[in-house]
Amino acid sequence: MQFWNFLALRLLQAFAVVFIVVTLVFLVSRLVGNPEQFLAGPDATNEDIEGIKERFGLNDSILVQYGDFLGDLVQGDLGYSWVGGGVSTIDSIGDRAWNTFKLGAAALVFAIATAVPLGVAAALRRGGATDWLARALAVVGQAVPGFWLGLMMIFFFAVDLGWFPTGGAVGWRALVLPAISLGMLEMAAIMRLTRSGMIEVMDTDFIRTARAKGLPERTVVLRHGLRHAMLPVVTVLGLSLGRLIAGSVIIEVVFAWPGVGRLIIDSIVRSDYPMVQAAIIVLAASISLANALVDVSYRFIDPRIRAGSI
Amino acid sequence: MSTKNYWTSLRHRKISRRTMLQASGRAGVGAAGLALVGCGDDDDDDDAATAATDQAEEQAEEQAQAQADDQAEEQAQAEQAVDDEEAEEQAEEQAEQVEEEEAEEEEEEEEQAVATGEIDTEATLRLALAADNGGLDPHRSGSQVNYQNSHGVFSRPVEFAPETGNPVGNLVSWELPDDVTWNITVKDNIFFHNGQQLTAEDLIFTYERVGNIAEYNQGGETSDHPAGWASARTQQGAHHWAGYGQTDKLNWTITTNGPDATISGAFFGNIYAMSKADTEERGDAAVDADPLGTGYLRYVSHAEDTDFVMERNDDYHLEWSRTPTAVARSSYKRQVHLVRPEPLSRIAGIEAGELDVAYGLTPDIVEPIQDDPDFNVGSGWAGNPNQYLIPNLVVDELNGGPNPFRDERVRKALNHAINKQAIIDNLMTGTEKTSYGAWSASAFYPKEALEAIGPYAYDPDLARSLLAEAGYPDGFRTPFHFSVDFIPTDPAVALVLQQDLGAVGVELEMHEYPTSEFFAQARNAAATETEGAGLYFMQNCACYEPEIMIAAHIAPTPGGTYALAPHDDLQELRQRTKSAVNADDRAAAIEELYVAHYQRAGFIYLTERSEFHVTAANVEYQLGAAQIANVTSIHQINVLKT
Repeated sequence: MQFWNFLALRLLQAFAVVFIVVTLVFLVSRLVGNPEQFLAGPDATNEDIEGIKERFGLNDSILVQYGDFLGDLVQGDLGYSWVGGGVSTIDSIGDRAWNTFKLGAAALVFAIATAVPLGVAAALRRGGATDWLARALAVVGQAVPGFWLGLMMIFFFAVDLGWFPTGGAVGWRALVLPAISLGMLEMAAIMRLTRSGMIEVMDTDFIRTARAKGLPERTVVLRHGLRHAMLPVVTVLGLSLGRLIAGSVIIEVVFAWPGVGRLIIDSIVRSDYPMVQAAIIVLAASISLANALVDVSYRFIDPRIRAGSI
Repeated sequence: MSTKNYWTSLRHRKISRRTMLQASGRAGVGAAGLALVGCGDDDDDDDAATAATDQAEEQAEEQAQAQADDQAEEQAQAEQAVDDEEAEEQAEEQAEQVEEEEAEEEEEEEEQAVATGEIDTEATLRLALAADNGGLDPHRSGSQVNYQNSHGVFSRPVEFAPETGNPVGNLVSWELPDDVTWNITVKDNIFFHNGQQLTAEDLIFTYERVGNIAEYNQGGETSDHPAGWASARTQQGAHHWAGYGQTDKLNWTITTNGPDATISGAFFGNIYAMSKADTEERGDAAVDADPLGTGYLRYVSHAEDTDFVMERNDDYHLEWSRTPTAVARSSYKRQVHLVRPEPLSRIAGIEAGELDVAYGLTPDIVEPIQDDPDFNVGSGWAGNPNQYLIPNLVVDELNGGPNPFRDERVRKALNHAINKQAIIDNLMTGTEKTSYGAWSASAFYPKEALEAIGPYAYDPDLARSLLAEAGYPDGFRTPFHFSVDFIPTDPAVALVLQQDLGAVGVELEMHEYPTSEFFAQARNAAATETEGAGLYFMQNCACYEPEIMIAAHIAPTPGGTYALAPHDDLQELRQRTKSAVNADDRAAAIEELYVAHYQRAGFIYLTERSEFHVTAANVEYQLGAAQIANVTSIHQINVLKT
């Protein structure tokens, strides 16, 4: 399949995913809650409530509301917050997106920087103490919930040792604990994949050939072994983006990190439909796009895919 | 705008204005006396003249002596009278002096507390905030977060006396020439943070803006917002006004359709003075982002979802006091609200020295640090303190028969049928109390009168006999409406209620709703005769102004409890609470109403909740200081030097 056809197909799939997400978010947000009541407050009269319903088109049928919603969406209008002083949802998301991106990127860097060397070391010393330690860490990383780990790290590293702040987003040190809490799960997954990939690759003929050619072990491991072992890791990275964003919702609350995740939580509590919809749409689009890019990147990483074996 | 002047500097040196005036007076009298003593001529008469006049002089001396004796007697009498008067005056002066000295001593103690370093006047008070609601316009939305942040920046025209709950003028004073006219006078020493004086025009503007009245046509995103202002107008009841108008710079007059005692509290106690000139010039959105008020704190900055920073307004019209009875100047220099959504991280923030105060904490969170010397743990009445069941008394029928809740004995039976202490011990925190109404101890609350009556004791046998007496020996079936998510324990409490009431024969049909729909159902209950019948499991937040509480719960209108609907005498009493413009009469009427409502089992009373706050060890948290949902008194918190 030609590259451009492949790219177009992949983007079409991403668009379909986003469309489904948009529809689900629209429907689910209208099945629960009663925004006009929330907006009007407990002392509002029926007249006030009717005014609000009229203003936001909540008296219209669900199909009409959906049509209006899609119409605005294709024009890039994600609406205005119902409770934040009428600010543009896209502006609010934009203000926080950088923080969420920073947190996700830091978590990913932490995960890769920790997991890959650990996975390689565990594979090369299979059955040894390093392997045992790495596997134990992976089990803990996958079993411990991020929010609990976050709280424990706050009490140990921020309260007892005083190395990091307990929350907020001021300075680089504020990023360390939330990034580790968020990245721990990914670290465990990447480490296991790296380890198993390396174990598999290091037993293959081409590695034996490389060694037979007299290449230094370092070159054999890093240039030939690791490169092949990283293919499944790249696949996982695509999925990791979704998990990191989902996990950031809780981690941002625990660490008072001002990102999109917290915006979603606050908006759900306040029945701020437009904000919830807009934030989820933006996140869904980001994840779909990232996954599409990961798929595309295979063609550059793996020559077999580039040769048209998709 | 500085209030520092000669007199205040003297006062700081412990010399009062009165003392200075007295000293000036005495100095003047002394100077006059000296001048009089210095007048008169030297005697240099010759002998001849002396001889010639000796006889005459002797005669004159005798006459003069006689006159002098008379005069001396008269003078002595006069002096005696003067002495008496002087003695009285002196006694008065002494009493005043003692009073003054006592006041000065008190003030000195307070100043010494600062001077000796006990209270840190340069401190930054850092408070944890659960969420950031965006702006700081106190009228923009119903979010408590807004009020919590903006309260220090803005001030209310009226505050409430902590002891009585009666409204007390803060920015204004008022008088009523008749029952329907309120003459409001703005105090002449109130200034916005930009130095502009607060005028009656500003207060009228504030009212019109809050009421979304057409004359205020600012436009823009914020004023297009549907939530805050419309509901605020309803809450404040200002739509009952017959008219209003400014009479001069500092005065305006409100006329009402009938006697309305609620204006001072319900209206002036719920708005925050805004500057007309500033708001019109900059627009609503700018004011929301960078507010200008008359409060004891000036706005400094806001980082979205991160913090709000404010600093002390040294020109605030009320000076700092250690035990303030009104919203006074803060002792600390800066106030920072740090957003900390997770309660445990708030505790961690205090322990790590990043925070000074955290609110809204549950007992399980504070229990491990209860005895830790690094923390001060306190409890207060929460924002949504009371749980109670409202019987719908408006509808005539239930299950094809007469509405059983209209019978006082049935309501009392239900009160006796529920084991409230078991709910407190097993489903709540154990720190709650049995409630005496929808109103909480943090609002106007005739505590002594109600507690003297005592709670409805748990007595299922008595409940059964009361039901039998009312004609329901086998009980009856009733709809039971409750919210599943207003408070996490609601569904569990609802099940216990079902069990307890079922044990005396009152079978509950469970109708559960999300919170928002539940209140709509409660509001429309009177309009939907059949669907609205039954019991409503309510929670209530505390409001200072009793009328807001009463209107929300006892009024016979939709939105009320319908609890007094058939009781005309109680409805009359309720009218008195609205129309008795004399504060004492009104307080008496409110107490009478609350007591009567309780004695006649207007509700099925359940519990009054509490919540906890934690501060760092060096924070002095005055009694009555801020609660999470009713933040009025952060100024009462002091940071002590360590």
